[in-house]
Amino acid sequence: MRSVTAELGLSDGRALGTGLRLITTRAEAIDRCRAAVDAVLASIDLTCSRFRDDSELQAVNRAEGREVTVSPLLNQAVERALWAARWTEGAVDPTVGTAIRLAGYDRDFADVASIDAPLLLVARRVPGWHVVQHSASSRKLRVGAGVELDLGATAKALASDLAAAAALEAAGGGGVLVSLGGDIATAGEAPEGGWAIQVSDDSEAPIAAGEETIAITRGAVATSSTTVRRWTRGSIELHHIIDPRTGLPAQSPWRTASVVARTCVEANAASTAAIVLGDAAADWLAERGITARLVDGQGEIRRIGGWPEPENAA
Amino acid sequence: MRFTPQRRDAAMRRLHHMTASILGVSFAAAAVFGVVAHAVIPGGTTTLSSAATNSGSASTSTSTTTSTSGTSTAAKSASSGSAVAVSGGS
Repeated sequence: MRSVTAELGLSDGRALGTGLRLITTRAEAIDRCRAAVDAVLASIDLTCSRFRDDSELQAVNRAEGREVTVSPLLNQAVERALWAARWTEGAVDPTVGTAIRLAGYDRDFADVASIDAPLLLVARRVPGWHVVQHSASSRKLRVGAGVELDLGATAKALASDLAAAAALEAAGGGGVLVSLGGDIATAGEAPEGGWAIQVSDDSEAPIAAGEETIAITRGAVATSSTTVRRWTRGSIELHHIIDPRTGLPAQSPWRTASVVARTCVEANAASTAAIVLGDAAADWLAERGITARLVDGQGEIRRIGGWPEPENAA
Repeated sequence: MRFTPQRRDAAMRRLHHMTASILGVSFAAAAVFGVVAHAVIPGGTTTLSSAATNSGSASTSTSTTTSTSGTSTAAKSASSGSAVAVSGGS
């Protein structure tokens, strides 16, 4: 491991409609790392965006039930999304595309917040991930007519995983951390003491004394929260985490869920599932040995699977 | 033809071997796909200027979680204010 005082290379920016932070233990390689990360994120945007008419995902959603051959990257993104659906027993489901569009999240979020026209929302179970026919080996994908895929729950996390791997390769070694809207992936060798990560409701929160902080030497951390990416239509406040059982924004006792896992896709799938599962989340997480931190609507914190107590609580 | 215990055992061995072979091909295909998917990501676009920061953290308790792949990921507490990144909703 490296010295605590080792200089880290850091680069901040924005990508995929959210904040980006890249850190490498090889400060001299930061520009090469950033170029590699930007390339990955540009590919993810062009492939998986629901807000670009020219994205490959939108072409699939317009295919009206026809089988299409997808690119290796979309193939991987769909495979991960369907894995997350199986693992979470449908709590995280890529067929929520129509539901989230009807809830008003039909464009880049910066534009969603400015619209206040009332909506008529009807509770209806989403089609379900079982209607998606996908062969990863042949890259064939068929989505039922009228079904819209939304990869938001897993594609951003996949982007963090791929970007971290690409940055590590560009650096030629050492260690890297990529945070994309609070979905954090690491690769390579962590600095001494590990990567210190603050957990908050909002990924844009400032780093400050008194905020709960953990350290990891490998793996990933992801947080899902209903306190951000909210919008109002009529008098109703909505958010972006859809419950596949109702097709509506999840009504959960948990406002925020954070998870530590091997990959960011796993962490994000579990944190999103925790919000959706609501009262059943704690048991679901504990039964799978997942390290998680849940925050309820009143700010009470529940730590599961050995999530460490904060230092000042010891 | 009588389905004797010997014939049943032989059939089960052949079925087990066939299943193992199919799984082997599937894993190999997945590995090849992973390499291909990694190789098609195109070249970079922009860079930003770098800055330097220091990280320091101290630990007390440690937890370990086992992911679906069977590998462990440890988390430990660290000094507040020492973070280099924030995990939160977005």
